[in-house]
Amino acid sequence: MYAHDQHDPHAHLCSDHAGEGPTVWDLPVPLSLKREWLQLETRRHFLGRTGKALAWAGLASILGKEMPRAFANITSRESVVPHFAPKAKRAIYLFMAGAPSQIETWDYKPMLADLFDKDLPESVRGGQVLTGMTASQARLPIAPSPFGFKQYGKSGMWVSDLFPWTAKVADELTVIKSLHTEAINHEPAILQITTGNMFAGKPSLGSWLSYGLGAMNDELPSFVVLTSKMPVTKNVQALSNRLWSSGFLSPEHAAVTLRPGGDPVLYLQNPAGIDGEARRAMIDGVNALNRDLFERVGDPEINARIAQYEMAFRMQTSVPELTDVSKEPKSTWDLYGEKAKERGTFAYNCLMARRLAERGVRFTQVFLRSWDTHGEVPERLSALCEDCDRPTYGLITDLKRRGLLDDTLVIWGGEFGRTVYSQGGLKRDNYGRDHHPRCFSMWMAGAGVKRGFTYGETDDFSYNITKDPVHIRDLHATILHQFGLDHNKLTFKFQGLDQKMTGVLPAEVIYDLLA
Amino acid sequence: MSEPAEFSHRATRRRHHRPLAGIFWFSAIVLLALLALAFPPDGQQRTTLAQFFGRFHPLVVHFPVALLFLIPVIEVYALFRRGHALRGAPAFLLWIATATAILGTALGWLLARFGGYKGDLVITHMWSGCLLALLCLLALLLRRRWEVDGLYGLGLLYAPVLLLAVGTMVFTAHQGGQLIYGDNYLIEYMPPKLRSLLGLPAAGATLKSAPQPPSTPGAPGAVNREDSKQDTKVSFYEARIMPALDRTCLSCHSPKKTKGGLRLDTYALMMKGGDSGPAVVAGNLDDSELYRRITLPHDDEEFMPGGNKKPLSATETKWIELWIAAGASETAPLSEFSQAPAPPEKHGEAVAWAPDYRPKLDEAKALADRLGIRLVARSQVPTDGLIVRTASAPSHCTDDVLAALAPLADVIVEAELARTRISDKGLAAVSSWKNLRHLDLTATAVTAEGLRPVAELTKLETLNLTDSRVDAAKLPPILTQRAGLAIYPLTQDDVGVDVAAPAASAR
Repeated sequence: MYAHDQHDPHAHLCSDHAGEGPTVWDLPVPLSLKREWLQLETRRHFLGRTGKALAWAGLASILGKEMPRAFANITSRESVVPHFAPKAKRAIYLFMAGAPSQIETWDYKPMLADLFDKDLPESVRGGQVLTGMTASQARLPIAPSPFGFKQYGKSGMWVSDLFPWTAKVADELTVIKSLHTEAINHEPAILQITTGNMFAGKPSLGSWLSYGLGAMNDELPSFVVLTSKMPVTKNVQALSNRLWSSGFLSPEHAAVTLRPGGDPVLYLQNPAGIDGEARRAMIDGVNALNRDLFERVGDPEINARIAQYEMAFRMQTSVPELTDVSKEPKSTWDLYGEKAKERGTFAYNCLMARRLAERGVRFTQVFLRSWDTHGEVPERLSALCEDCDRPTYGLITDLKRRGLLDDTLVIWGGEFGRTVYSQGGLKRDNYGRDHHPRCFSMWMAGAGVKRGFTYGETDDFSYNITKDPVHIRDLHATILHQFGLDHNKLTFKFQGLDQKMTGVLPAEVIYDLLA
Repeated sequence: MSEPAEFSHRATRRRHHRPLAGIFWFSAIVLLALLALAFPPDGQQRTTLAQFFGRFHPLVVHFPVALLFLIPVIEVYALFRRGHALRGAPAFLLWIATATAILGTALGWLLARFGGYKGDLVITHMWSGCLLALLCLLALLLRRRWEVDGLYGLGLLYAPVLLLAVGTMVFTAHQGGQLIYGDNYLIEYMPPKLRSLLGLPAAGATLKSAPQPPSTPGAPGAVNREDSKQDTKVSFYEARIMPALDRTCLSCHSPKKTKGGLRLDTYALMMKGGDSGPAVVAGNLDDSELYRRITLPHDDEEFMPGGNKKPLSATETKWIELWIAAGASETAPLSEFSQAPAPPEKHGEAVAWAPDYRPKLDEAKALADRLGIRLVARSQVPTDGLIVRTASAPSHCTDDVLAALAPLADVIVEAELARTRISDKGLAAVSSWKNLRHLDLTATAVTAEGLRPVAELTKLETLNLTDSRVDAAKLPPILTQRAGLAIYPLTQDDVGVDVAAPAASAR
């Protein structure tokens, strides 16, 4: 039947017979791939063809855009609206790329003060293989934190002197001291915490939320990434769009990044000589061609492209409105600090995150880099914490006073922890810390997580977890849970597997974190 | 075609003349029963090689279970297919079933006797295992009579005895399941309808001493709030400790299965303790074996619960800690433990916020399309209500739009009206949405005066007036003084907005 295909496999693909073009079923590809295509068909395609008035379809259609386009994955029709009532409508994830040291920040270890320059007991390390950066060191001398800790708030939470501003909202936070991961290097570790998998190509958390819940505001993308100017530029981690890609999900679930300088979104403004009307006519023309192709081929990527053109057009209006902070009251600058007036700073991005949250963007991820302190820990951490401390306080307080913290989840943290022993020479005020995947600290606030609460414990060396370990999978399951999503039901069929954010290993929602 | 029949005929004739085998198996069973009588499981753990073998009990018992299901199937099948090659199979399978039933029972006795088991359920399970072995042997002998004599004489008894063996097997196997997974393992998640059909008590009511939740008929999914005010007399032990132990410990520490001689099903027995001394010493955490065991590292050999059972949660452990430290009283009321963490809400068991939205979906869709707003289900639970969402085009939403939503008044639970063009007039329409919980009026033209009708919304939990024209000082007291209603924006004092540089930042 396909004899001629073998001679010229491109015959169908290049066919331009108008109206009589090939459909996906004529293509010389395996049947399994065609089936996958069929699954990826949009809801409209699916409903239009079957014409069946399923009870579910009734629900589906009132949900409008809120319905993820992947309804065609009929088997998991649950992935349409939250499985159960959500606590969170949106999240702001302050991602500290490079891995902040837990010892100077959230995992208070007073006992270390007496152990300065002592060797790390072999029993604590337990034969763990170290990275190439410290494996050849003759000694592993313990480096205590030179920064003090004090208790704050009604909860009496211990907060580092590095976070004098954040300490004021200690009673809003749930600090988790017992996160752990398998990855020991940045790229896999960052991928794992952003996408749930160490290998590139999986959808990131924001994409899953966009796919599972849809957009609240059509004028803006449902997933936005903001990268920040760095106060320190040593050991800087490269960021790439694989950290916020939609993987196998439709491309419209990928993040749109707002750049720290120049145009927030590249090529969004009309070039000289083109007005809005001409732009509209051009997009209409392109869309008509794309729709024609879609009718014949049914590839969902075409619909995604149409959606992206439309989104870009709408963003021509919505993004300038979003980034215009001239109407912000003085109290805003009091909260976030004067730095927030400078485009691209972490403070500015925190303010932007609040403005995005207000406008109904599901997931905003703010990246602050260069936490990878292999040397000069005190100096670099001081600069980094000073840069992020006040804006973080400002963000939490601002969300709270505006009534947004009730349904906005704020998350702060990096990709792994750092070693208790010094990398390189050890002085009281100068030392380094290597990568440490066995334990690290993060915090969450708002949207139904406990307030003024600390979870999990590590040993006296902040080396091993002694109580209530939380894997990144568990963290993801818990975040999805707050959005009303069951991580085991939010699936997408790809490569023969019902893919999910938390992967195939068991993950648990940590109910103890939830109020 | 006649060859298989002939083969089986020959085979049976040969097997028939072997009475010694039957005597051998029978004496094995009798010996086993005598052993069990003389050395019953008494809760003493004896760590010997015997325990190693005993642990193979669960593995071996699956043989008779599967075979006893298979044999009647083959018999019936062969009945309709005369001369089929399978005809001779049941005799062989029965032989294996008998042998493995005896072996399984023997191993079970080793496990129970040397592994520290005792209790009614263990004993019944053991004797039904013996009975099963006996019935298998009997069925095997009768099967031979049946093959030779047909339906005359003793052969007539084969089918009833076989069915009796299958029944005993089901009974015994279920008991074994209960021993491993707990009493109500099979029925724990049984649909409520099937439950009532079978005359079983409602889910969650398995523990008699646990307080019965105040039932609210006609309110499906009403959350059981144990610490509501009328329950002040309930003791902390009953409300917190007992349910926690029930979930985690009783499958091994109750009259049905009593490992380590410890029973935790009553207060007195818990205080009495087990083989390793008292489980709980009032006011002394260090000497309370129970507390020590549950707080060990999870991979410690002595950590409880053992095996792969789900450990107590951090909250439950904290309850036990507070309770023991405070004197481990059976009667101290719940209200005395104000510092104890609250129990987690029952997840997945939602409070109904509104009537079922499904009958209104068509209308909602038509309205949303016509009005240019969105009506969104809060979740797939039909009693979670709908959200009015305007974020995409706030300017489409006017007072008229709100008035047009009247048909959905009882299913709307959240109104996101930020930056819309509504005014005080629209709030009059909103005030008829009786089930409204969240009302966002951020950056709208509403005034304090216009908010008066909103006071009629008794279920309202949040009212957001950020950047609106409302003068907070003029808000009606009926709103500002209502408990359980959060009004935003919070004032600087509420939020603790404190823009003074913190002292510690000098670095």
